[in-house]
Amino acid sequence: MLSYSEQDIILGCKENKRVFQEALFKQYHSLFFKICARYAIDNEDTEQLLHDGFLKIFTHIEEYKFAGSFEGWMKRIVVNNCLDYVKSKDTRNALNTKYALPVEEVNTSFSASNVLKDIAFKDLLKLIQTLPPTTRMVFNLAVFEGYAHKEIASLLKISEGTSSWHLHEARKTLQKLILKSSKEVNYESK
Amino acid sequence: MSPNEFDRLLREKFDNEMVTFNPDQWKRLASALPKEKNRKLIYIKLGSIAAALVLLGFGFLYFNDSNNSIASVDKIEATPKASIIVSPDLKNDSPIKLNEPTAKTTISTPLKLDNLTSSTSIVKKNSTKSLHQNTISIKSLETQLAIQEPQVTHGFSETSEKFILSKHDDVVNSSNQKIKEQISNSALSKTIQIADKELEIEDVKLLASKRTSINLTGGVNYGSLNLGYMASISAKQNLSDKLFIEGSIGFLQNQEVVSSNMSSSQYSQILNNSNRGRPAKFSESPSGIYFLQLAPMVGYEIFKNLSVGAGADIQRNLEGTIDNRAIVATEYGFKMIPIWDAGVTTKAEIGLNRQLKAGIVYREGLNNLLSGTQNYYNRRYVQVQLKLKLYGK
Repeated sequence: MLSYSEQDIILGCKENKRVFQEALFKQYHSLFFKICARYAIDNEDTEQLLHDGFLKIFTHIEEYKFAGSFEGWMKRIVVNNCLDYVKSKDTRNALNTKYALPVEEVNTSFSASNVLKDIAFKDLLKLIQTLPPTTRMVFNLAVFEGYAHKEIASLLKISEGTSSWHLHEARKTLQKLILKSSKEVNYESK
Repeated sequence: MSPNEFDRLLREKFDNEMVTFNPDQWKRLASALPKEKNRKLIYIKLGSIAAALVLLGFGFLYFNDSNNSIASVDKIEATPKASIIVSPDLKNDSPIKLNEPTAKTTISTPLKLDNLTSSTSIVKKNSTKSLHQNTISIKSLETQLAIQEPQVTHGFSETSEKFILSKHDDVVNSSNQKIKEQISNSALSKTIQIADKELEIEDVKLLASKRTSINLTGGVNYGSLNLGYMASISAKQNLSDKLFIEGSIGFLQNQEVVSSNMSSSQYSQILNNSNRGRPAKFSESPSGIYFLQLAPMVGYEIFKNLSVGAGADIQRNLEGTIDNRAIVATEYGFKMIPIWDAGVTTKAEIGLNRQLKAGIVYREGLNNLLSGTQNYYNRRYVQVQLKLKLYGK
């Protein structure tokens, strides 16, 4: 397979050439799929978000003027597309029927490093997808996208304190869910 | 475990995971992207437009070129360049006459034909009229020389175009079906709306690309060979939302043409001054010349209601044969009206409403270019057309 430089790919995509668009898609497919998966509620929505994200990248690539990181520019498009999706009223309704039920207290010291290494990626993804919409958005933006609480607060139109609370809640809930999931796996294996 | 440690482990978990590439997802995305422009097609489009404009420009520049105009009697009398000169020693028993019912102005144009023992006198019909309105006929000239007709081949393959269109339709249909299926199962109403709009746009493009129409056209042409009329039926097929091909078949007439009838070989003898000396007579009989016309062309829609095109124009003189063909007199000698008249046309067309279009066509003959001679009369004209859509969207 031919390898193209980033500049070649960008210029090719600006000229709407399929070969360069496919190269870009292949190069960033995995990265953006994982981003989309953290915001989506299932695999189907993940693929739809990925599709829409790339479509926006290709249709707006003329606006990229080689100022700053190209990957960063694309990431912003994909993340914003995901945020729009989560914030949409219909999606929120769908999410509210799915997100995590209150997790019972698990009074066990959390050896996350071992558990996290053992847990399958798909299972971890499912656990993140069960977080409530706002909590999940804050968690994803803070942990994976590296946004500060001030930026998150501005983006989601919440206060910084609320953002901080959601992040705390997300960590706490996820840790419990991961441990619970681990215990269930161990129990089933016995 | 500290929050930072937990976050780091999560990030690592995601970073280490590679999602396999799904070719179907790329196909779906590619079908939703704007169509890739075919550079060759763009060059063809631009070339067609440029050629049409150049031809149109040349046409107007040379439209009034006297080199191709039928000479008036006055001009023949005054211009020494006339290739047919009446020899002073021609006998009086074989007059070449143009009968004049009202005026008896006689011009003495010397006709220089070696070995031709006939005297020629051209009687001017009307001093204000040109030779357009008179007919000259030469009879009884015998010769073995023949003038080759320009051989013009024409035709285009519709099958390949249909195949490409059919393939294109299949791909678009299957892509649209996939998109519809996937969207119908999705709970993303916002995305569905966007996708629906994209599908609508795609459907509109698809409809546009499938457009076929049958049209009835009438026109009036005026040019180097006097006034005339045209009626034709044409079929138009869109190759894309902008590019189309059109083919028409019809009848075209040039009226009140002043011409003589002679064989190609007789004409050659005159040109070569190798006549055997038989007497020739000219008699007046202005008449129309009728042609069967076949005109394929390629067009491009610049705007919604404005299109331009260029193409070939093949016309068959319905009355002419090699043994009896129309000859017209010009300042530069007698010229043959081609039996098979090959030419090129450029056209601009504007939509007046959904059913009616008005167009202007410029036509330039190619017979002299194709035959490498200057023996053919160039039927150059501008035609104003009205086109009525009989069938199609």
